[in-house]
Amino acid sequence: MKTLHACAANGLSSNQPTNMGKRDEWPGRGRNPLGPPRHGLTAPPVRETAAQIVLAEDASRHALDLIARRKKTLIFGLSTGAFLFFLALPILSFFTTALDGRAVGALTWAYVLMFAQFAMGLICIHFFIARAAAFDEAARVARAGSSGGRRPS
Amino acid sequence: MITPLFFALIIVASLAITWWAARRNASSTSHYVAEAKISGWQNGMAITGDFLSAATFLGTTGAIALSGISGFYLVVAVPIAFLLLLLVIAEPLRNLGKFTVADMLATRFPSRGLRAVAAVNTLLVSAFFMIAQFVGGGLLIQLIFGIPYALALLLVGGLMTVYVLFGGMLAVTWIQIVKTSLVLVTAAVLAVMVLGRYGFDPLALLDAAVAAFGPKVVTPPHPPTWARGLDALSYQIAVALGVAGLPHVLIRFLTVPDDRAARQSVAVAGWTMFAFLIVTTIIGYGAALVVGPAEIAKLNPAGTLAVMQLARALAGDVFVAFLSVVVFATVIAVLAGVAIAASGAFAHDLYTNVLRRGDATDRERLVAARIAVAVVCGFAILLSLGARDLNLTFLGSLSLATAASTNFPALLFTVFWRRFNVHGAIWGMTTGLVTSAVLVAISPTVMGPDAWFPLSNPAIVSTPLGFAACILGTLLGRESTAPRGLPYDEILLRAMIRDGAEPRRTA
Repeated sequence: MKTLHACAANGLSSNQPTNMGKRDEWPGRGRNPLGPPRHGLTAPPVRETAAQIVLAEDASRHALDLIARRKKTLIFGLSTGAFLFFLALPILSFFTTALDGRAVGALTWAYVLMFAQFAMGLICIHFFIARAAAFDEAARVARAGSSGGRRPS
Repeated sequence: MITPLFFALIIVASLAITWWAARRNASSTSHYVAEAKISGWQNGMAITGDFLSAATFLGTTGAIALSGISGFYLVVAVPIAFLLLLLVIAEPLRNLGKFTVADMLATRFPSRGLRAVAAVNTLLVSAFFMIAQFVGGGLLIQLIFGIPYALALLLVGGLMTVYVLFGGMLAVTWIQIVKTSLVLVTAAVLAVMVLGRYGFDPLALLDAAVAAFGPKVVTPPHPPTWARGLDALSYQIAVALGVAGLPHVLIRFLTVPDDRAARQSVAVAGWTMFAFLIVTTIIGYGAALVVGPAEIAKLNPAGTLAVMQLARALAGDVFVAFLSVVVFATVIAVLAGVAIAASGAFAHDLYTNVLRRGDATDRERLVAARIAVAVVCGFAILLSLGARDLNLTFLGSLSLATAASTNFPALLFTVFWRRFNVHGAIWGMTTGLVTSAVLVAISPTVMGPDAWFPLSNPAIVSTPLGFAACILGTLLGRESTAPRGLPYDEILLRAMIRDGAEPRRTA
C-alpha cells in the first residue's frame, strides 16, 4: 500500500505538486480517488536522466494499476449491494405479504419498493459516473508523470 | 386513408435515413460499429430502443391493464439490469472490444475454439430473440393493419434487410433513435390524456383503479405454489443478468468513441426507460378504467391491444393510425438491431476469424458482413413463416436465460478474475447454453402439465450452473495448452482505464 501511494505521487512530472495525494490539494476535479497520502513518504524529485524517467514511468504504471484495482473494488461493492437490494423486491413480493400494506393512499409498499429500485438504479448510475470521472482524472495525472518530463536524447 | 399516409411517411423517412447512412457505410468498421462515432446520448436512445420492443410497449401496458401491479413485475428488473450493464459491461467492452462480444474475450484468450463457441452462442441467442420478435411482430401487424401474416412478415423482413444491408449500424442506430422518440412522445401524450381525467394526480388514478377493481390491482402477486414463485423469481434473474449478455445490447457499447460516452449511454437509457415505465403504468391503469378489462381481453386475451383501444377511446382514429405506424417501426427497429449483431457473429467471428484466421482484406470483410446480413435475415423470415402457429412464448425466456447463463459469466470473469482461463470460458458458455436449452425443452411451456422441470424460465438454475462451469473449467483445464492473449494485469488496466497505460488519445 505504501509503495502504491508513493508511486501515485511519483507519477507526477516535475512541474506538478509532489504532495498531490492530499485530498484538498488534489489537482483534478472531485475527490482524489487514491485517497489520502501516507505520511512520511516523500516523492523524490524527478530529473531528466534516463534512469529517473524509467523510474517515473514505473511509478506511473503502478499508480494506474492502483486506480484500476480501486475501480474494480468499487464496481464489486456497488454491483453486489444493488443486486441484493433488487432481490429483496421479488422475494418479499412473491413469498411474503410484507409489501401488501398501503403506504400512501392506494399506493402499496410494493409500489414504493419498485420506485425505490428505479431511484437506486439512477442514483448508483450517476454516483458511478462521477467516481469514474475522478478515476479518469487520476489516470490522466498519473500518465502525465511518465510523459510530462523531457525524454533523454 | 390516414393510416397508409402515416405508413408511407415512416417508410420514406426510414429509407432516407438508410440512404444517408449507406453513403457513409464503406468499411467493415462503419458497417459493424458506425466507426465508433455515435455520441453518448444517441447511443442511450438506441439502447432504450432495443428495450422498447412491441412486446414491452404493448405487452406491459396490456398486462397492467388486465392485472394491475402484477403486470409491472415484467419490467421491474430493468433498473438493476441497466446498472449491471454500466458497472460490469459498458466500459470493459468498450475498451477491450472491437466489433463483437467474441472480440472482447479474444483480447485475453485468442483461441479460435472460444471465438467459435461465442459466435454460435451469439447466433443462437439472437435467433431465439429474433424469431420470437418476428412472429409476435408479424401477428401484431396482421391484427393492426388487417393484412395477411405472410405479407406482414415479408414487409417487416424486407425493410429490415434493406436497412441493415445498406445502412449498417449507422442506419440501425438512427432508426432506433427516431422510433424511441416516437414511442416516448406517443406514450406521453396518451398518459397526459389519461391523467387529465384525474386532475393530473397519479394517486387519484390509482385510487380510482382500486375503487373500480378492488385492492388486487395494487397488491403484489403471490404465486400459489413454491414452484410458481421460483419461476417468477427466475424470470426476474433472467432479466437482471440476461440484458447484460444480449449481443445486440452489448455491441451498442462498441459504437461510441470512448468509455465516457459508454457511461453516458447508460445514464440516458436509464432515464428514458424510467420515464417510459412511469408513463406505461399510467396508460395501463387508464386503459383498465377507460376501456375496461373485459373489453380488452375480448379483443386480445393477453391485453396486447389495450393501448390501441385506449387511444381510440381518448384520441380518435387518427391517433390510432399514428400509433399503429409507431408499433410497426418498433418491430422493425428492434429486429434490425438483432440482425446486425447476428450477422457480425457470422461474418466477423466465424468466417473472418475462425475460417480465414483473420486473413481478409477490409473489402472482403464488408462483403462477408453483407452476405451474412442477407443470410441471417432470410433464415429468420423463413423460420418465422413456418412458426406462425407455434407457441413461441418460451423463446423470449430462452433468449434472456441463455444470455444470462453464457455471455454474462464469461464476460464478468474475463475482466474480474485473474485465474480465469480459456477452458473456463468455453466450459461456462457451453454449459450455460446447453442447460438453458434442455431445461426449457423439458419445461411446462414445451411439455405442458407433465413437464419434467417445473419452471418455465430456467435462469435460476442455468445461470449458477454457467458460473460454476466457468470456475470448474478454469480449475480443471490445463492452461499451458491454450494460446495466450494480453496478461491479466493489462486486461484489467485496459478494462478499467481507457488506453490502459498508454498516453490518452483525444476522443
